[in-house]
Amino acid sequence: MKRTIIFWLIFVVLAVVIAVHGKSQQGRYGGKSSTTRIGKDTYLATKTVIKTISVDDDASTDDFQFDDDAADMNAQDVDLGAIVPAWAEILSAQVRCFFTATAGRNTVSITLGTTETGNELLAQAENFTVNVITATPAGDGPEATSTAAAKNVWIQADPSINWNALDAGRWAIEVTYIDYGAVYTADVP
Amino acid sequence: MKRLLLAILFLGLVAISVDGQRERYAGVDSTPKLGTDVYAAMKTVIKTFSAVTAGSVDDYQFDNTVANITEQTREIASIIPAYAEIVSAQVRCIETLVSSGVDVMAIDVGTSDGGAEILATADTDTANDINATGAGDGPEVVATNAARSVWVNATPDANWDTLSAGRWVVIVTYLDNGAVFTEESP
Repeated sequence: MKRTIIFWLIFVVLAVVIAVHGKSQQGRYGGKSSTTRIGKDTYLATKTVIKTISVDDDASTDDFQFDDDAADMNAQDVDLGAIVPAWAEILSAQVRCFFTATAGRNTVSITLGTTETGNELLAQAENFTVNVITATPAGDGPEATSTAAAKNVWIQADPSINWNALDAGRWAIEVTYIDYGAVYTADVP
Repeated sequence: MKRLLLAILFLGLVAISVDGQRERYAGVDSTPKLGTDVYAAMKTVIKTFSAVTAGSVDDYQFDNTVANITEQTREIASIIPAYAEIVSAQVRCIETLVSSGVDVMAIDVGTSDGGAEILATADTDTANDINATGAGDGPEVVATNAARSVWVNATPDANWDTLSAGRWVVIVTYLDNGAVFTEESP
């Protein structure tokens, strides 16, 4: 009986050690780690964050929603939050329509910036049909220089018809940045 | 019963361990997820080219049996996925061009047959010569919603059939926005 207990005790301890080792390796070269170390003092620090937004603010499962109850065609600005960390440089941005905005012959124009109503990242362009993208032009990178503070990203949509006349429309916003702050943090100098 | 439960516990812990190892080299997923809504989507693809057709083990070969100096173009078909932005490119000579005539080879890289949308023409014919993205020139090509081919175009100063050596690597870095969208599945 005693031998059996000792046997299973060793067995479980061994299993726990293996499991802990496995989880510790998980963040080492990728996976759940926020910044992947690929060698001595070398990191993969280019990251792409994706957020989604919908015209429909009632049943939307997207991260953000415009207000489609408004009986006007005023531009709406939505703050996606501080999705670019401090010290990061914004390399590129892309807005992709993945569900056509049902607007008859009307249009929706999209702008992306780091300030409310700003267009620091992507200039205003019509973008309301599935698979249409607004993207970083050739020779235009990096889109925004790094600063010591985290940066918010704002998306603006400007329809040519009242918001409450729109009954569909979804977009994915992807922002790619070099996370210098995370490299510093991971290196713990 | 107790032994069975312990065995299940053991297997579970081993599974967790294996899961951790699985992501160690980020090799299973083409676009590793780094955190909530955050991905590593910058990718670099490399292809090799040879000036010599016969016996080449490279990915692509130019035809060195023709008696002319006409530009030859090779298509790396649909190497850039839809929605990707081409960030940077580099052509590097890894084996010096050898010709019984003139050892000069001009190379450009584009997204169309014979085009130079990615890298303008430059002599790239001696080992370690590179033709690369210029400062302030990135991204090289804006994203589109269709996959794109990359064309490598080479023009020798001497007839192709005078060439007996010459190899290059073509390296293209792109931001795979389409893969991020697919991984996120909104």
